[in-house]
Amino acid sequence: MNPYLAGIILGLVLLLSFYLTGRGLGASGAMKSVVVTTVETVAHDKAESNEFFSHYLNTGHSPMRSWLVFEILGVMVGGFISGALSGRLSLKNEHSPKISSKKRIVMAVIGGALFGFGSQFGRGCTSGAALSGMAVLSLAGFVTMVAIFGSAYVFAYFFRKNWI
Amino acid sequence: MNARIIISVIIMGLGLTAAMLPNRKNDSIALNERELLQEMLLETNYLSTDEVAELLIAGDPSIQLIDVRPASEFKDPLPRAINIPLDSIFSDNYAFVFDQLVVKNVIYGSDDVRAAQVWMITKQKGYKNNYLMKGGLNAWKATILDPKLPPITASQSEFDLYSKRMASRQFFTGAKALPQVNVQPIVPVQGRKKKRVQGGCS
Amino acid sequence: MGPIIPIFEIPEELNFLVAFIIGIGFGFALEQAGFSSSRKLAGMFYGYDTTVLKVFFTAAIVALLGLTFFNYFEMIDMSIVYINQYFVNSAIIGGVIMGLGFIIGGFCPGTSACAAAIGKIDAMAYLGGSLIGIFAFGATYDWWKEIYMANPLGGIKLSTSLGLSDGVVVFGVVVMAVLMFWLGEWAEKKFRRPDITEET
Repeated sequence: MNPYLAGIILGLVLLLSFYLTGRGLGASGAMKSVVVTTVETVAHDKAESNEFFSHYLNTGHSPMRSWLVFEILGVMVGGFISGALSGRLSLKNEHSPKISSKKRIVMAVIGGALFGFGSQFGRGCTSGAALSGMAVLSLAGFVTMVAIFGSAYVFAYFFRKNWI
Repeated sequence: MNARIIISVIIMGLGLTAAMLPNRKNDSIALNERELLQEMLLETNYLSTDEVAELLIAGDPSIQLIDVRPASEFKDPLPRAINIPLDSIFSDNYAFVFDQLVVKNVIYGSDDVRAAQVWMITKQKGYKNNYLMKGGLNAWKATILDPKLPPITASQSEFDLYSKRMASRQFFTGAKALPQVNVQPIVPVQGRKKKRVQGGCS
Repeated sequence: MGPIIPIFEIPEELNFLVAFIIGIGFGFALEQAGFSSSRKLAGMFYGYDTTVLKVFFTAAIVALLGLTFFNYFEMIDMSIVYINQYFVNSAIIGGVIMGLGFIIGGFCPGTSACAAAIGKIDAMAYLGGSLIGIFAFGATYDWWKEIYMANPLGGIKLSTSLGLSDGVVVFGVVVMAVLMFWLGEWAEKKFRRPDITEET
């Protein structure tokens, strides 16, 4: 699909989200809910004593009962539907021909860990902070977006073998 | 290429229009002008002096009389009225008096001028449960405290009203004290406060 | 007047249903844009595929213009809408770490969820990694707490910090976006890599 058209659809979805619920999209918060719930079930006492986790456990209901968790479930369903409609459903490991499959998986895990860590630090990821933040003209959104894309450009040179 | 230029121009045009729009702050609770006018014309927003007298005699605890005269003029108020002068209605102590859903506020002054101002401000801010006693204390004196005997040619209902008013007058100026009703301090139960949505990462 | 759910005090369960449906739209748009492919996403930083830029900025200016006009036509109450809280240090440091994570992993959480849904194994690995990363942050929270909470400036808008009116900033963002579209198209022609872009 033409990227501009996809962008318009995405923009309309974002606008609808603001108009209906007063909040924009997001993703990293759902991952956090999963982590908090896991930590709570596995090591309940540790969770209570840790300031970060206890903050999300003292709300009176399960941390999984959050807006973002339902939204991410929807993202998966939506992605699946779109992939099915366009014939892109396949179990695949995508990587540059210059590196091995295994290295790609390792890189994905490391990248994911860094991004997960950074998203908590930066209070949002590209969808929640950058995209939705820009739509409401929030300074935090712009700064986070510039930091993410700017540093990605800077580091791109060192990792070019992975992609090109 | 052409399509791109056209679309770019359209987008820039939209952006330019946006640049010229004034900074407008919308308030989801406050009324706009048309709604305010509708509210002002609604009879249910007003109480006549007779209705207020009836409620006071019955000892109805669900009303709260508010006297908006300046503190220096606050003499001989209606029973159990509290004094909130016009210029202090926005101070912290009094905002919750108007913005709550527990008791009905009946606003009055020496006449309608100041009371109507206070009443309109509360309406405009979207607070519910605020009513105006029409005519103020002047009307109260003329109808309840010193009712005029209707002429011989008046209808039966007017005579009934007169005798009712004479009875009220007896009640308010006579020996009978008003029944003691325990006035609870007003607890703002469900003020219509606006809350920002929680969003972002959490 | 919007936003509908907070103003009409609609129950939370319906809010979650709306979240699910919006998520479906979100995932659909992301996948249609091709964001379920990590090479496409990384292509943005090497110039051969600027889809990210186009989709991202198009979505941002559609929503931005939409909100501006809604605000003007009194259809939305912006004092209820969530505005991201700005904590200077954590925004910048978090952003840099995220940039590194982005270029190594090739995804962001939203796109990785979308890609995992269509079966990309590296996306699933990315999701697993992000769970580890978040856990690491939580477990070592005490080390970062001061930096994390430093310099709170609240829900400050770009227009306030620059001293301009909202409309002017919106126009500036739109102009910048259009410029970046033209720049992106030029870069795609210059750094062409048909072997990658035609894969997906």
